[in-house]
Amino acid sequence: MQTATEFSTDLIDGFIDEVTLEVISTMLDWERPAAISKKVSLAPESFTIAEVNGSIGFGGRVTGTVFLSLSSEQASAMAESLIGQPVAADADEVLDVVSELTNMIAGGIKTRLNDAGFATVMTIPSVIRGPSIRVAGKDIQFRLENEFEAAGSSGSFRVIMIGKVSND
Amino acid sequence: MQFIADSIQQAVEEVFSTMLNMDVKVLETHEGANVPLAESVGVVGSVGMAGKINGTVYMSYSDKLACKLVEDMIGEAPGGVDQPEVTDVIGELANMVAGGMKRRTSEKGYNGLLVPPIVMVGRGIRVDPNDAPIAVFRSFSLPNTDEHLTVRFFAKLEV
Repeated sequence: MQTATEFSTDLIDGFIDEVTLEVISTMLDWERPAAISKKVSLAPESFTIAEVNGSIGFGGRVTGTVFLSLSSEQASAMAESLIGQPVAADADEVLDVVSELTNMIAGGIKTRLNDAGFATVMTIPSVIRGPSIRVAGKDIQFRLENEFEAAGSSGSFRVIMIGKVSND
Repeated sequence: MQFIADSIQQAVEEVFSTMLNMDVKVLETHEGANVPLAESVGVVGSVGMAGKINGTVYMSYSDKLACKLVEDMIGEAPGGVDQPEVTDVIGELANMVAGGMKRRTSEKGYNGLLVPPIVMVGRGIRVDPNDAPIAVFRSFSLPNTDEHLTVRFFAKLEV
């Protein structure tokens, strides 16, 4: 059932944490990752993403893009956990896993947005790779960047959402 | 899905003609499994579409071409591809091309909501469509430059 909720970046922040912890621990059978840092910007500047990035766009009351941003090592480790055997960083299986995890995280955020009264639809996922990519959003109002660390895995990963709210 | 490939090509031609007074010419066309996934060097403007047509358009420029287009559009050369005016112009071109595509595909019954543009800058940017059933590639020559514009669109149609 939809309820009228006032939009805030805290709302999105909570959705990102809740969904990411659930997806990573459930799908990869990892211990629940810890949220180790958060950045919120209401005057979004450009930002860098890691080497392997799942990306999904949102259209509707909340429009924008969600990134699951991973080092090559993290992406391989996630694929290995899901598939059950070592996987090279540039293997198609890694792209499939990153794509699917991004889809589940974005899907969870979308469901919660819809439940809060912000109807949205999602694009299909893409995986963007590169050694040092700087991203800038045009016509966006907010950026949230939540960094997580999972026990037993090397390094951290980030879920980033940039976007804006429409009054339509 | 020829109408999707046509809508992309027509939208690029229209936007560059209207906004930049440039008569762009198609150099290469590929579709489906033949779409090259080469790494892009420079600047990539992208816009997603979500709805009955669901996917993302990626427009890739060299640094030099991106700066030239910004200069042509606003009358002043940017200090580099990391400047905000590059994001504005490259993002707006992607937005207008996606808008033109959306208008054309809507006429065929495939509507979608646009996602705000993002602009990526870097060396070796590679976008993988992950088995998107629709893949379209077009490259274009532009007047008064040897640089090329490449456009990729990865999508699926929702039934």
